[in-house]
Amino acid sequence: MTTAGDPVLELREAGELVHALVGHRADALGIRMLVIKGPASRLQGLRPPGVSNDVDVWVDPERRDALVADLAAIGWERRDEYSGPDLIDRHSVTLWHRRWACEIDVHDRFPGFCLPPAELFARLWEARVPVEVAHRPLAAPRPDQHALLLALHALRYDGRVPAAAELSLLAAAVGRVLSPEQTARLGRTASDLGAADTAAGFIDLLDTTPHGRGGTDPADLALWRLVTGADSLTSVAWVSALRRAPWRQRPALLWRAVWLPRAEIEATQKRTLSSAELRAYRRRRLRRGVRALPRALRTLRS
Amino acid sequence: MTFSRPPELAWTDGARITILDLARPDSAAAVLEEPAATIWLEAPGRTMAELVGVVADAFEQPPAAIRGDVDAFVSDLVAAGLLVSDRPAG
Repeated sequence: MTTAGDPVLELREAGELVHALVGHRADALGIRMLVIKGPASRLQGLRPPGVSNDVDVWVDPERRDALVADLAAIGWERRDEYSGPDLIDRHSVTLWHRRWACEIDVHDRFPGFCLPPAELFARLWEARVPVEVAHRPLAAPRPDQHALLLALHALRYDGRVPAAAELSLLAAAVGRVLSPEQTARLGRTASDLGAADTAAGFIDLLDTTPHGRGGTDPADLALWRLVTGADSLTSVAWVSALRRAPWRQRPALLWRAVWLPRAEIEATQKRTLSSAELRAYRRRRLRRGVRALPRALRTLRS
Repeated sequence: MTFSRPPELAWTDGARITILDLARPDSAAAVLEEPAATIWLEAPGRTMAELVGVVADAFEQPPAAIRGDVDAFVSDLVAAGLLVSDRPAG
């Protein structure tokens, strides 16, 4: 019957069960939670069959910490140990568990939706639709809103071939899944969610009229362009931090930029590294940083 | 007496079934291969005699030849919290 000890689960199996687990915990705490990307997007026909590496959930921003704390109590630890500077607010907390093959990304916002997090979540929650994962009832964004989220996710990697292919696939899926009326309204839906400008690259692929273009806060739009355009957002963040820092703090900050702590590197690599691997990683990082520096400076000047 | 599933189970479908008891998040997921998967899937709402008949049909075996194994396995499932025995009221 059951395997003694911990059985080895396939990624698909683990992902579906963890969706159910997180949904169950959120429900018990009365925390509003949407499942995004992953199986929910496939059930809605927005993504082709496949397996996701992570479980992505979007929760009421005011209750995200409560859910993360609850999951920590059953062994889910924070993965994101990055201690360097950020240009944008972290949109998710990543959790991992020694027993499970997949990680959980607990979002309280999503890059490209330029609305205050609480207002944005309220709009998505109000329009939510039911989905069933691992035979458990969960909630997902309405398919048109979900399509915009997937488009923003792809657009974050704008300019790369896989992103273009992903957007084309998504546009084709939208044509199959949404009614012509829903598709026609997608420009307005994007505007309602603060994505009129950020999702423009996707909206323009569809048979819909753009709505609200040019209305995004310039600061939000500048950050979005930074996210989607910079070769290395990390480099831009470090250069920005260096420029803001007082002169006497700059040597130490520069050293930190080049010489990340072992724990932080191992967290990003998701494994323990030997000393030789650690040295090699730091050399590669230094070379990447030097290469990215001119563009990072240009990005900040602009 | 029939059987039912506890209300807080999540499970995946496929070539095998994996089951997680959400009420016990520290427990490992159970993995059921055939014929165990069929027994677990078919048990709810059935008596032991009915279940033996269904499993015998599915695997083309005489009921008498599998009754003991099915009975023992269902007891294991009940002990593991993956099935519940529903005794008739009164």
